[in-house]
Amino acid sequence: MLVQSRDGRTKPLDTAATNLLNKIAGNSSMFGLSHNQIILGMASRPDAWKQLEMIKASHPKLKKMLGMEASQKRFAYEKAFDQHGNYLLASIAEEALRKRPGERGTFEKDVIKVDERVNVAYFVYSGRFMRVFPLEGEAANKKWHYPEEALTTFPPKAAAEVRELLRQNARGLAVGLREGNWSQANAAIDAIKAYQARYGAAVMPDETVIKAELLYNKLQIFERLYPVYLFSGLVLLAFIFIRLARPTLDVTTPTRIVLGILVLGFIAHTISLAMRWYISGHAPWSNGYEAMLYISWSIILAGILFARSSELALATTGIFAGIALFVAHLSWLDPQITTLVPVLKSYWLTIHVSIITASYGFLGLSTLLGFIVLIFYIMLGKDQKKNERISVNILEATRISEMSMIVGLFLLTIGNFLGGVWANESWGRYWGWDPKETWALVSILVYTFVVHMRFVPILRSNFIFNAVSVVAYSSIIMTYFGVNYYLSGLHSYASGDPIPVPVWIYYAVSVVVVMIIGASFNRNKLVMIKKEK
Amino acid sequence: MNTVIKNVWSFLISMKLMVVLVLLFAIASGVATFIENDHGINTSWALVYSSRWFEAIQVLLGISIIGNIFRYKMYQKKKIPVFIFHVAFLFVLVGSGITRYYGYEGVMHIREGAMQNEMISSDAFLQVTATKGDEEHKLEEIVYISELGGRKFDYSMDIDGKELEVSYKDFIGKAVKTAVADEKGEPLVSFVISTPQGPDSYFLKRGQYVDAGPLLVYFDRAPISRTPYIRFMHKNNTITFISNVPIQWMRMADRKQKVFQANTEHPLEGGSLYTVNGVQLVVKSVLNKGRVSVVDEAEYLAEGHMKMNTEPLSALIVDVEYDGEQREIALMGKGKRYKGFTEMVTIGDVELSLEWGSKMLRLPFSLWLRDFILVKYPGSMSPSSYESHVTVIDEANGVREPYHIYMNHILDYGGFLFFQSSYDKDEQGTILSVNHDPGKWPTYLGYALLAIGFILTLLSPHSRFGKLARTKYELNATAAVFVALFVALSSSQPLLAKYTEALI
Repeated sequence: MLVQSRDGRTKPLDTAATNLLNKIAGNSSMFGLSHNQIILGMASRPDAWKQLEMIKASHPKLKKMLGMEASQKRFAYEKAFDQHGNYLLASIAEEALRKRPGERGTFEKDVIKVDERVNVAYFVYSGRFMRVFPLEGEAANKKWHYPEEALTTFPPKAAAEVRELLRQNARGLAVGLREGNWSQANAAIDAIKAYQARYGAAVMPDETVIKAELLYNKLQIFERLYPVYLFSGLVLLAFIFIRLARPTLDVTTPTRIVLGILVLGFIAHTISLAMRWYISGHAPWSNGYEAMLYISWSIILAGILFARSSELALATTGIFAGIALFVAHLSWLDPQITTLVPVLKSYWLTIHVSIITASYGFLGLSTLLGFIVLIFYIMLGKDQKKNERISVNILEATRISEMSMIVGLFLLTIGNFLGGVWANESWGRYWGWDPKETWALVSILVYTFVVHMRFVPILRSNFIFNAVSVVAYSSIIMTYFGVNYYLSGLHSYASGDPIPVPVWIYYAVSVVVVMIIGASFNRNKLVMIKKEK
Repeated sequence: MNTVIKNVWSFLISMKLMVVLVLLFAIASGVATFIENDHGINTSWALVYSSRWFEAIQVLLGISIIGNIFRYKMYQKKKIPVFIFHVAFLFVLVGSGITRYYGYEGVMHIREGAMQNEMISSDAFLQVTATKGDEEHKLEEIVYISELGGRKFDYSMDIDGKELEVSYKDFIGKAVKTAVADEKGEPLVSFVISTPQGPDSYFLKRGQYVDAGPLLVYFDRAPISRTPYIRFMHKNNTITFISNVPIQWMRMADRKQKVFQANTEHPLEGGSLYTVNGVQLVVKSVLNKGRVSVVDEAEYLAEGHMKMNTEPLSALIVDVEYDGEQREIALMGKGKRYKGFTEMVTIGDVELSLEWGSKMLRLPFSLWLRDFILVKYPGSMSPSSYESHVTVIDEANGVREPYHIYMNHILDYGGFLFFQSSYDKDEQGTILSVNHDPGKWPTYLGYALLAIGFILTLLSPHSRFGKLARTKYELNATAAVFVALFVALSSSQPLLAKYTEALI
């Protein structure tokens, strides 16, 4: 059966139901039921479904307002209203919306999102999403109507026809539920389909297109593809390092297998993109989501083309494409249903997010390597032969760590500046010293310091580089966990509020300090090994 | 001399200074975010982001980049990639400087059906207008001051050969106006009238009056109408009152009450509530010799005064000196994005009007708001987004162009960008943020060069990255570490999901 969405596209109910559920719950299935079952259930028995916890909310303050536990992820529609039926978020949502977009904090952003979800849920409970009835002769049947609208605004004869269809449908559902015999219900749906074909042919897609769309929905190729890309990329990278470390080891066959997997993934990707093109009738780069699908496709293509000359290129493109698809997936989880434009719909933002994400990966790699090198330093002892062996490992790890850091810093810088472009196109200011962007700048500066240390004699040492590369990552942690946690304006540190510090930070800091001190005792035992080019 | 310059130059471009500056830049920015969290955006800007030393760090880093481009001969062919991205930073730096000094932002408010070519600046200015005879002299400077300090100023204006000096004295974050006794002062009555919108504070001197709707309050002035009034009078060093209606009186301290008959004269008492014609008038202080002073709210409360229910204003206190005479003037306001309250003073032969707050900026064209639409969720009253249908009217260039402004859909006209940012509560007016930024293109060019430079650097065999990629430390090594590492890395996928949410 087809329904028409707000943008005027007529699409299978299946697609609409996925979008709606993603929007409300941030998930495409729940309670062990499919999206179709849930959405139709919500529309047919709203009272029962209004009591189920299915609307997503994430900000702690907002959760408190809605009477949720901190650990709860979703709340019931009912909970958004007090006992007099007043909507709890009405005033704060309006206030949040009236704020300048650049000044909205995490709380305001979440309020706006949750308010939208509640309204979309209402849209489902009230049956308004079921825009299934075209009206004969009306403006070339461009606009379809939901049942209530059809019954009240259609001319008597058409309204009677719709009423009969609905009655058949209700009867069929009742019989189906009672006797498990769904033939009557299916017949009723066929009758609605026939009605649509009769009066709404102008906007109805071809039968094969509908079939393709259903298949496309079912396959969910993009959602399944990102772990494949990510994993293959990481495994390939691992092979490369293994071979660097032990050239005698033959990893040709496993490398070929991973390459094969990537190629298969790429073929599936290509087919999926083509299907999307066929279904939507336009080239798949019209919005942020499609742009990401397309960008990740071209990244993989580039990787495969360069595979022969550089396996490293293939590995990194695999990781990249994986992240890009993942970000696209996030935006798929937040589709546009109302007039509100989801955050991730912006072209610049999606690219910015994926590049920054990738940079954190590279910088994280260099931190891990730094940590391992510190262990190596502690392992250095009196045995000169053993020291030589360890030293080779230290130098190799440092080399890779520095390369990884350079790539990470480049990506971080570009990603951050793309964020600036996004901010400028969205609210006219590419830089506003907002805490998040300021901390991103701090990270850039910290890593700029680290990569320039080699030009300052007292800082030019293998040991210092590795110790600092471990410590430097704290700026990244602050940027994406700390800023939301410490700088949301909820605490005032000057007035004596204690700074809440998660316990794991104490452990992490003490481990790092102990390691650095331990390693520093052995810093002069490093044996300089000859380089080979 | 030459060697001094040489030494200074080699210090300026030394890598030691560069790494120190980079760290200072990072620490200062990081600390500023905490200052902002605690004391608000005005303070973080006044103390760090707009301070001279913070700008100096950036300029010095720029100089360092230039110097090192020459020192390391980055313009050589094989170093071109590195050259490109270092130069890119210079573009970004220059672009942001242009944005900072030549760009400005404002907020434009248009009611439906109205034309508008004015906007309120988002920066707070010190605005001084000095009038002498027919001549007008103006001074307008951006103020970066907060409770915790900021950029102090000392401006001077030339008025027919005589110097008028306006300098920074003090800043009070939460300021209250209060009447204080002063031997050099004049008779003064301070009182508060409660209105449905909140209490209104007044300081009345002789010859002045206040129209409070159902009640007029005079001080040594003949009544101008037959509306119920209360009139203060100053005689023989006492202040009395008289009214044409009966007055209920209550002393706040001991709750003592009394009714005064109409047309009888009685001494006026501070700390009392007078109810006249249904209007509640709290007389706070009655001073034979007094003046209005602006004090810190904390001090004011410490003296046992009641807290005012209104949002406290801030006060920028300036010293004005002209023709050998000096005055201290408190300018009340809220700083950025708000108009301040104007203070008028006469010093010598000059009439001064001073104000601290946003100023009106005029655009070379107008916007006509044809319609403002608040889009609501279907079937409910809650708004989902909003849009403005405007027409650009540029008489000078003969342009009349309709446009539709909504979220992520910007109007770009005549060097100004208009963004939908808020709306009036009654849904009859729109609020647009306006931005004029000539630094955007140099900055964008910098970004582009940066990206190109980075990519070329990764590809170049002569860059540090290229050299590292082709280096190899040889001796048989253990691979186990790397295997363990990558197993750990590849199992970190769920983390990714969590973090990406945090990022947005």
